[in-house]
Amino acid sequence: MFKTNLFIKIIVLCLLTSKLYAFEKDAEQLIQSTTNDAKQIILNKDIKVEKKKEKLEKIALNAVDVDGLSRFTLGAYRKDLNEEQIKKYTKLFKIFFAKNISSRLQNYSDQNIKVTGSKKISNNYVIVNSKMTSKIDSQIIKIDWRVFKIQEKLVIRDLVVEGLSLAKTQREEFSSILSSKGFDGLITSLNNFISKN
Amino acid sequence: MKNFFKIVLVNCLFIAYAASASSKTKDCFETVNRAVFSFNMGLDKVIFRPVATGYSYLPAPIKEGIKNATNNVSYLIQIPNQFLQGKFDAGVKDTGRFIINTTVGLFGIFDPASKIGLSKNENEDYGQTLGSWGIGHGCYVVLPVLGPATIRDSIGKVGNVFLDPFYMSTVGSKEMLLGNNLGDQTYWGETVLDKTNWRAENLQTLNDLERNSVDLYSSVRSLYLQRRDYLTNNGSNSDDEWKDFK
Repeated sequence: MFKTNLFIKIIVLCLLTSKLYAFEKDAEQLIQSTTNDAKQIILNKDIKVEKKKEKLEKIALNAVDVDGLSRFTLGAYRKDLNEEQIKKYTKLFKIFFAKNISSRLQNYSDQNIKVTGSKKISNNYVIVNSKMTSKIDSQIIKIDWRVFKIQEKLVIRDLVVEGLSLAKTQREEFSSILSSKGFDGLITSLNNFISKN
Repeated sequence: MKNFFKIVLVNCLFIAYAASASSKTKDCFETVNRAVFSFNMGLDKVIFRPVATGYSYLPAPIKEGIKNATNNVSYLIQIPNQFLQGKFDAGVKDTGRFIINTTVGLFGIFDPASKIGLSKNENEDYGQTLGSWGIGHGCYVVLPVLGPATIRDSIGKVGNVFLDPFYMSTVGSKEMLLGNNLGDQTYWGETVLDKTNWRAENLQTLNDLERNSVDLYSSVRSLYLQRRDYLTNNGSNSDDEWKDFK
């Protein structure tokens, strides 16, 4: 009887532990598979540049919580904007983000990204650690990914390269435009970027 | 004149220390900073980028040797700062690295220390030391030619030159080691090689940043401040704004 109880307790404990770690493991898997998919596209010489951009945009939009990121990048200015302005901004930000990320990614060809671990911050937030190694100069760069569980789906909200948060940098860039040129100035800047890319 | 510099230095430290109470670094001189930034970008376009592009075509072993040698010289700033920050273990290891690479590694051109397990530590300078002592950034400034800094880091930069034994033994003290002209040439030659190597290594990164920014000045400011905080906090970001984000 005692042995049966102990056995059941061990099984329950194992199940609970595996469920607790499942979030971290799933987040790690998301990062590794997303970066692998992106790399395959970047290295594929049969795909034309425009098609590559399109495919990379698709991967980025699927893996990243663009709505959350758009809210984050507005910072404190978000509360000063009305519903219509936020809607307009969010729509434009999605296009801006896709163009921006595909433009940044397509130049990376010789780097390998390897997930090295993860740390659970809360029930819906994990930081996944990875290392990017360059084949040319063997330089190792530390990249952390902020992964959230939003409505049961895992999404990336930010990546931090050697301490530099892309989301924070973007927010401060937008904040500077908002304070000097206002909301219309930011919309004009985003439109200019989109038309150039 | 010496007293004047002392007063300026104490005032700068006081302003920077007072600013440590507020976490956000202010861009107090933004209009002037933007003008200096434009000037620096012009200089980069006309001089630094073309030179770095040319340099990048050098054979990899030569670039590696130059990088190793200039890194080795930077240990003369790094090691005292490790001790000043209480990082005795890293300080002792880097002293070993410096001695081995300067002698066996032929003035640091080769890096035999890494091969025996004395791997490189994160860079340290006087600006980081002031930060680790609790002194805040103060205002953000863009220095002509030298680029982004803060009041604290500007003071640190002064220390990085005048408290650098390499500077003291070349430019600072004409009677020592290399004599008048050779001393100057050695110091400035090493500085130019160091900066050129850095610019060449970051050609693609800076091109990407320029191409993908809607306000390059703000991006550079944000990246600089984040990087300095990261280095001062020894490779960790204390504030995670995503935790409470809704």
